[in-house]
Amino acid sequence: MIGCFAGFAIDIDKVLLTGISLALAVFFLLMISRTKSTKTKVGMIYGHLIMLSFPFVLFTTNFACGAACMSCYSDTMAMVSYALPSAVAVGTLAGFVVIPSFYMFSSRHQSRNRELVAFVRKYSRLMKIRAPKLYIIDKAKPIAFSFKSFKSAVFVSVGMLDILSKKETQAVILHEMAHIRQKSSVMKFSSSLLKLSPLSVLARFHHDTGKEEEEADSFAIRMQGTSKHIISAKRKIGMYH
Amino acid sequence: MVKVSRIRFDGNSVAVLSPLENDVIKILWKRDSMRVRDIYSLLRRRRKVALTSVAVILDRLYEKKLVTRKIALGRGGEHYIYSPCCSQQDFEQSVIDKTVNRLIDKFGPVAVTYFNERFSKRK
Repeated sequence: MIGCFAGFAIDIDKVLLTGISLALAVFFLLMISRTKSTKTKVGMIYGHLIMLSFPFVLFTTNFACGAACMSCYSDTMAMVSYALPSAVAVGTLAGFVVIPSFYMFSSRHQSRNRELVAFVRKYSRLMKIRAPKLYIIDKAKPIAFSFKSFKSAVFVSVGMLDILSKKETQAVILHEMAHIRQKSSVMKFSSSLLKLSPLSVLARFHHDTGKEEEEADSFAIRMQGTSKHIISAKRKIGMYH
Repeated sequence: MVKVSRIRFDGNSVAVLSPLENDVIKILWKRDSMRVRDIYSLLRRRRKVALTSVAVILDRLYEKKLVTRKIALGRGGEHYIYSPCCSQQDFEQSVIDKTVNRLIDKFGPVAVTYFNERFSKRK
């Protein structure tokens, strides 16, 4: 193991590559709080995580390639260096594919409420976004959330439709559609992945979900021309214990 | 099987369900299948209650396996239709059955002797 590491450390190309990738990792990290657009922020977060895990991947490959270092496979360090990039890959896959697919699959059916589906389509055109699919969750608890991955979707529980009026339901859906436009789910997931990075404390970056919620509420209020529906919807949801 | 976790003795009455649970299940026993809003509009004529509270109570009754529910499509979109799992008589019988069994499990021969004496006195 020490022999292998020494081999890695004296190879000037590999040391240089490690240095560059770590410098880039810090650069991406510091840029997160300075960029405004969600897309760029998400890009910076993934850039940071990939650059941070790159030296480990390189180190692991070095082990694998050197025939003399075959015994190093059983080493914990080698395992960690495999696990870290794999964790980023699995996490990304889970966040963007598996979790939305799970909800879409387990929700069983898309809403058959033509009026509500037409409402979603109408506002998607106005917002210039691809119309999200509306899924119904078989739960009495009033819940609503949205995903923006390869396909975007809004999920609403039957319990929510049971207690909200038509206008209140529309307010909640507009709120969720605003989250899709903000790419909130992508940002939420990426910022939780960032916490895996030991350098994340340097970023001085905190994903403010409160601000996103306020913006989503404001959007619903703007579209409906009144705040009473979103307020009464939130009050009813808050009353459910 | 109906889940009954607590039996309260309030003065002279015996309560298995909370007062609101009791009112809701009684409406369902009379009407068979109903949606949350319909139960709410019947109930609010008698007492001050919020629609959300009725929805909570129905979910609690569903957890206790006293009611079943299915998703239906109607005015206002998808909604639950709640129906009672058993008649009032079956429910009451189930509560008595559970209570007596618990007493026998806990106190064994003492409970059995007590019931024997009690029933022979009645005869």
